[in-house]
Amino acid sequence: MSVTRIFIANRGEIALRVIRAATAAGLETVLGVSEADRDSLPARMASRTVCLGPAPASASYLNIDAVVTAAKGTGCDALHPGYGFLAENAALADLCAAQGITFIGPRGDTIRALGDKITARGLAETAGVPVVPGRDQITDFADAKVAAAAIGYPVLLKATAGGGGRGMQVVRSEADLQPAFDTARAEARAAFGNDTLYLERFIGKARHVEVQVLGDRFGTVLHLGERDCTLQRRHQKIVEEGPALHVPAAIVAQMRAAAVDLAASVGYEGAGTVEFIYDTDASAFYFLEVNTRIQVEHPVTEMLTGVDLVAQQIRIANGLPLDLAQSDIILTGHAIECRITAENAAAGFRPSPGLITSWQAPTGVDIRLDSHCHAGYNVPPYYDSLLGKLIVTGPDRDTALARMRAALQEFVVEGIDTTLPFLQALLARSEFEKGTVSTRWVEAVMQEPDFSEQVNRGQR
Amino acid sequence: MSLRAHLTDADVMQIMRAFRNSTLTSLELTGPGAALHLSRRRSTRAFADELIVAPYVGIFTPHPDIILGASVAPGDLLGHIRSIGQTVDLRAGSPGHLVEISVPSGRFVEFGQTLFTLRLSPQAQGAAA
Repeated sequence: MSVTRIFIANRGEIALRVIRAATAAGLETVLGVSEADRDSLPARMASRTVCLGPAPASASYLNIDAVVTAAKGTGCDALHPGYGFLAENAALADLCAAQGITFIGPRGDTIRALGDKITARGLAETAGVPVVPGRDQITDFADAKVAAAAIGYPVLLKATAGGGGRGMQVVRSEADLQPAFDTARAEARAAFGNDTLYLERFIGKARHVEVQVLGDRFGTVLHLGERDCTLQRRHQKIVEEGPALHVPAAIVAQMRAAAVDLAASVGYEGAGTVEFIYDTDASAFYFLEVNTRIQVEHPVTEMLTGVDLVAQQIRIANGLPLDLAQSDIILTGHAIECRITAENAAAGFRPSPGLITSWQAPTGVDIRLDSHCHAGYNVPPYYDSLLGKLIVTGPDRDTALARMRAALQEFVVEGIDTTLPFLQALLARSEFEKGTVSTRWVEAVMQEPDFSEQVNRGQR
Repeated sequence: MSLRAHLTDADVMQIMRAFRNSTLTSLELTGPGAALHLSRRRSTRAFADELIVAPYVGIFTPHPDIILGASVAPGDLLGHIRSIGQTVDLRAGSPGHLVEISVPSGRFVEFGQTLFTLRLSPQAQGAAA
């Protein structure tokens, strides 16, 4: 049975992206919206719009029962979850399957296995993918001491149960282990009600490199090259680019092969990303996690390979074999993506929802903008503040960067604060130009008075 | 040009008719030479309707006793909405009688969709005013 009508369980630019891909494939679309998004651009672009519930995401976009009921009620035979919200929720994939709706993404069991940090790490090890040396289930200090000595300092202590940096402690030497261990345990207990710790090698100068994969129902898995997402702030990606930079070609080849091996080992169906951390000092890479969804930064790969990833997701969900071979995947030139959000960077990235009074987006050769925004659009305060993604390409990185800087200068948004001034200041830095940044670089730059001043000037 | 220069008696009558048939409660037109102010008191309205909308998504089924013209009291079961995982009861909040059932039984409804129009009984209107 082939897909004819897709339910889109998301909002904003990714909803628009999926609607466009589905429409191009000759399929009908039904968009599930919250009350706050009834008049959005994706709502107008979809064949039909259904209101799921009130504005808060918990009552609309995150309500699995409402989402699948609406998909079924509107006669949809497939569902695309986008990213965020329920995109990596195995229960959604399972409920869709139970209701005869094709979930556009991996099977529920794949999402479940890869979504759990410990299980995913085990699967990676089994597939022969290097993982950051570490030890789980550390409950007492003696244990921590033995583990740290075996792994080698510096080490990172973190809560087994949590994320988001809470309960995380970097330990440089054995002398510092006891106080760090006590603090990490107390924080983990307070934040997650579980003080079991995880200890791993701390990577000081890390690059974040992720490999895009596609797998079909017939066991074929391909990689579509990699993206560098080293530029982050508090684990949120800001700028993504590809192909990888400052990683030796032999290591890049190993990462790509590792990603394919891991995906193939679980019979991965659909689009996915295998994230790695590259230790610049040690010239080694380690498995981080698998994202079982289409990612925000997927256009970087699309611009490099010419492959429409959302169209491929739909094709795979339809039970068709991939119509690409690994030899068809050729990365051409360089692509850079900037995430533009409704935040005031000069004021600690304070959210800035509200009415966009003017929206003048850059245009030109090799510029792509994925956005649901326009003049007259009211950015609701309830959701993630992403306004759009600006993707610029060039035959080489220098050209792409020059085009991106020019495009950011040309981009004018009025009525709300955006991160455009911040991005302009960031991309003007020589470290970015040289590509010698690490995942902690942005936080360090933000501390410089000159940089803050520059961002501040750019803000309204 | 002044408002007076523009409006004849027939024009004013037409505006008043339009106002009476509208849902507006007041209307003010002003010009340099004249002003027209129309308003209505709430109590002059012949009736007040209350829309009962879907509080959830799912398949709508009206209660078998709930037919057009039926009188309802607060708390009366009007029907329900069934999603995959739950059934939500629809109950009247005010006394009145049903003047419209907007959705046929068995149809999928979205959140906020109008299901019933309840014409409030006079005491409910008084309470609302």
